[in-house]
Amino acid sequence: MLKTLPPTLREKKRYIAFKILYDEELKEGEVVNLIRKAVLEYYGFWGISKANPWLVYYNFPYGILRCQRDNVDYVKSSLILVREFKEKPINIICLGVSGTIRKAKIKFLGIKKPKRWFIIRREKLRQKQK
Amino acid sequence: MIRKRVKLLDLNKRDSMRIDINRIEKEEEIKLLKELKWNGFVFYQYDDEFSKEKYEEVKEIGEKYKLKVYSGVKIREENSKKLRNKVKKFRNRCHIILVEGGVLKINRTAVEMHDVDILSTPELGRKDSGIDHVLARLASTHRVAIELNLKNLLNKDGYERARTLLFFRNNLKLAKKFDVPVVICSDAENKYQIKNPHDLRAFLNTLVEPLYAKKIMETTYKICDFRDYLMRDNVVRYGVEIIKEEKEE
Repeated sequence: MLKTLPPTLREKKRYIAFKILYDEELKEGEVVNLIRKAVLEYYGFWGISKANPWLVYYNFPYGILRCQRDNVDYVKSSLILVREFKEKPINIICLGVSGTIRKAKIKFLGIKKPKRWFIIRREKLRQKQK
Repeated sequence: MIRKRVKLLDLNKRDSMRIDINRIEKEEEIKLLKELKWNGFVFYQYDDEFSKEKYEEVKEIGEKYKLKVYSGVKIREENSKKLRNKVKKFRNRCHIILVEGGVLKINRTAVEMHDVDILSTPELGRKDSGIDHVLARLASTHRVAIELNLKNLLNKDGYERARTLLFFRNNLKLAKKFDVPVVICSDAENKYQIKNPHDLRAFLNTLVEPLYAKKIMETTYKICDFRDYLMRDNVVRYGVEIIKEEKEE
């Protein structure tokens, strides 16, 4: 296993909180494909390799997307240019940008006490063991 | 130890007033505008369907949510003489006059008139950007703003979308050189076309440098404020106001 990089050498990340306006409920896989296609369309293969967008959290209609710090504007503008999905109109609204997932949840998604990441991981492990 | 105080430009500072240009009438959509932190919007109608009552209705709903609502009219015309007459007709009826571009003659006539505020979509249905250095210089002297219409971009796909982006770039390049005011708007008709002001600014950041993007975001309010001032009853012309009327005995 690779050793984790020191903080100065790590990728600088930002988390974009967004909201989806759509008639039906979308699954996580659909949203991932939608976002990938949107960023690919606006920013291209070369750009997406720099921006590195990744869906971190999703609970319809809200979600959090991770991307590189320098390319936040490009990812944001590619999200707002999404027009339709499965021949129905769709609108992705960016609620804000944050440095941590926890603060993004508190500030933009209205979750007052979000669970810590290690608690979520522990719960998942316990479920698997059962 | 001497500490030097350096003032840094805060690019993240929120700009003062954020005004959109759109055709939104429904209450829930106006509520969404408020949620997305717009400070107001210009409600525009086309010249053939213009009614002041409709504007009053929208204004009433807007004021309920503490939004500033300005009235606007978009003129669609292919004859420049008729366009001049229409501009004269609507000048005192609403705050902002937009002219739908696309035809080169109309672009030129719009840009030559002081009374026109915004030249909307100069690249509509064209194979070029619709503005050259001559028109840009004219727009600068007559202070006619050029509009970047997001709906125009949204409705296109694939290569056409890329072409429209290129036209935006060309227009912005000329506008910056000749100091032409530029305006960005979502031009929304329903809730799926409403965008966040910060997203629009992020989109501009991808085309131009951040400080110029900030300037563009502020221009709409400046135009609205200027026209609102001129439409007051006590203002004769810019800078001349009647403060108190003296009665003759």
